[in-house]
Amino acid sequence: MTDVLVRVENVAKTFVRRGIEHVALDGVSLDVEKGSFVCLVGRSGCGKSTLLNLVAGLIAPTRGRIIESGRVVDGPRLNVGYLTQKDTLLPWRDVLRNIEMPLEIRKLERAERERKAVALIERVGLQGRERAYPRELSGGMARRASLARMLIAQPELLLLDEPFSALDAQLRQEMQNELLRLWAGSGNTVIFVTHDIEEAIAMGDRVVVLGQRGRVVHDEGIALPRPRDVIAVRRRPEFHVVEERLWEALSAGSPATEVAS
Amino acid sequence: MKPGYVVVWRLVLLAAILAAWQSVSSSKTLAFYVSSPSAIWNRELQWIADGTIWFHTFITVEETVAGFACGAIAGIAAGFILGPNRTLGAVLDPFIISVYSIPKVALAPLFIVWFGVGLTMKVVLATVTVFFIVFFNTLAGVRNVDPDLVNAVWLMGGDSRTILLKVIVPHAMSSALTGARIAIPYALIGAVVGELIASNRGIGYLIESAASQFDTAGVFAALIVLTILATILNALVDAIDRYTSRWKVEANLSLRMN
Repeated sequence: MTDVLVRVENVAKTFVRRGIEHVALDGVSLDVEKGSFVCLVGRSGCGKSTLLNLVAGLIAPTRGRIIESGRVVDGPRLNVGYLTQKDTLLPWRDVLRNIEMPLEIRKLERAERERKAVALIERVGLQGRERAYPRELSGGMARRASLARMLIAQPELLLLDEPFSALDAQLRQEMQNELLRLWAGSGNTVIFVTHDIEEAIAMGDRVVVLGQRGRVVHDEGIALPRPRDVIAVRRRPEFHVVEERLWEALSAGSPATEVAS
Repeated sequence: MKPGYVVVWRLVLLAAILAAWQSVSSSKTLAFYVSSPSAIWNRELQWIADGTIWFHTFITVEETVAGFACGAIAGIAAGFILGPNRTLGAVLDPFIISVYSIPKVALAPLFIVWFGVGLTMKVVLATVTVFFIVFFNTLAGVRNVDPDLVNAVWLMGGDSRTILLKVIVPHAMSSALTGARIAIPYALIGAVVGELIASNRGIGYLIESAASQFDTAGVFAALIVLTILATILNALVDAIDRYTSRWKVEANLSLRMN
């Protein structure tokens, strides 16, 4: 067995809103191996974003614990990159200065920051837009800028929360391929949250289906060869076999049909 | 319609208004009330020649600029002090709202008692008018920072000082500048109202003294100077707007504390 980078141990999370308790997660356990690309699939409201926030250290679990690189998570760490569903580029900074931001916080020199940012801008295909402000960017360009800002800090663990769900189908596939290209050979670990089964199969080494309150109801390895093209891979017969199984798991989705991971 | 036509039609409309005005004022009785474009034009030329226009305009601009600067600085400072401190904000809320609710012109007599009828009283009146607009915008800017932006910087490894300097201050400043932009014409209102109430110089005084002598040509001539001044200030506002609109946040016109 390979190294486990993230271990979620029997985690529960309850929120209190206006005096009423909401159980977002209960009894969630999950191991993520170092260097793997794991997709978490679940219907909206199953707690997948909450789980990602817990792994990022933005919030603390009510019960249980999360261990990352051998340490109990108690806050944000520099080796973790988080790409949220919503763009969080600072509106008063242009693309270049937004991408430089993580290095600015680490007090790198300006010339060094700029050199790295310019290189990444090229890698994500944003050349010529360095001086544009976020509100002047299209949805796809804003995603690329957010991706570059996350990657510039050279994280080992990438948390992606439905990163392409707001894009149109064609742009989504383009971005999915680009993410796979950027990830390939990096050795980075990815936890990719989505509600789109096809996206999960096309991208992941492993797909984990979450049921109510974030419980793992299905967990399976995806044996499709890499490098993958997210469009071509959909034409393979085994793709549809897996898709069928995952649909079943997702629609069953109740604790009674739980499958041990 | 082509933009060229719009300009042409505007000029046609202006000419029509002036012609109608001039013909109406051929009646001696009506001319007493509305003067006439030619009389106003002559008065304008006379004021330019003897320097009256420059002297009074300079006074009004001075009061407007001083009042705007004092009000904007005080408003931004108060917004940044009260913004993060919700308890203090809640305690002061009814006091600030009640002072804000007073029509500022009603404070003028009090300011005359405190500061006399000189320049200071107009500056204070403009300051008070500007202060609230800038204050409420700064306050909203400090308080309405998107928590997702704060989280994003936190995840990058930013501490609370970084979050303050790189997220809260820039966000609040853009909101404060929006308030300041809105407040520019109000500074002029404050200054002119002060001059109308008690003064011996400034455009407001020019209007008031001409009216007290039933000199309608003088009143209109001074109003035209004021219109030009206000137009220049609005153009300035537009220029600032274009400069910042590439990234600016939405203007806050609700003027609320909580």
